[in-house]
Amino acid sequence: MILGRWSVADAWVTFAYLVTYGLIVGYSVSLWRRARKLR
Amino acid sequence: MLAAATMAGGLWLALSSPPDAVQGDFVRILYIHVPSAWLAFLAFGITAAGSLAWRMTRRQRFDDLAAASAEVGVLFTVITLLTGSIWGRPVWGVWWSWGDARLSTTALMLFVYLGYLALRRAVEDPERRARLASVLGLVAVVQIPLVYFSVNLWRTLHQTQTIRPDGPQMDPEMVAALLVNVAAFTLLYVALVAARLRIGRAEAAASEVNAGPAGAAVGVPQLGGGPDVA
Repeated sequence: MILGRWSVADAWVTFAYLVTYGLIVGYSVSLWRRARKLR
Repeated sequence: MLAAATMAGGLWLALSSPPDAVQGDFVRILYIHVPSAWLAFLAFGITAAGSLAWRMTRRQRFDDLAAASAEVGVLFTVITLLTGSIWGRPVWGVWWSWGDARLSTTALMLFVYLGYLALRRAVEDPERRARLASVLGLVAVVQIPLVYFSVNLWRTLHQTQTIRPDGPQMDPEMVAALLVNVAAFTLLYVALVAARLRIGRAEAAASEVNAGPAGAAVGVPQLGGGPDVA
């Protein structure tokens, strides 16, 4: 399990998840800021 | 909230599911890569449906839906390409290969929908914008089957479909993790499109208020009679 130990594969997987969730959070924040400006 | 809770559950399943017999832990990238690709297809399919509905009814809400879905679809296409690239580097030995049919057709799809969003920004008149965008939204949707079947039409680096009509080629535990993540990403898509639609409506209402009543243009320059600015 990825949470139990650390390997090269875990580093690549973590990188991919950080990129994915980073983009999702970044887009969500940009929507929230646009909505706040319009209020 | 439901989307966030399902995302958290999907993340836990993705990180705790068994490693692949061949790829080991690298297979965990599948749980974000495949749902993102599925959402890109769904989003651009909704864009085409919204475009068609606008052409049939001329109702603004359908054009708004097409635009919102395309924007969120671009986000998921970028995620698909980036996670695929990160997966490809350790497994295939390359970040990118223009010779691969799936990669190239997906990149083409991204560029076309970026063009769709650029077109929408370039045209100010709402009627003309909806008319032009609906044509592109309907034409561009042919890329979805092209991208999906590219792995069958041209056998290059990318593997063929994992979920097939004759059953998934995976362990049931891995299929469960994948399906939960597909559900989570789908709920996220619905939440993002709903938020994007609300913003679009608020922006339209704000621009109507700024424009004022018909015929009362704001900021018309006064020729002559004004103060000298010498």
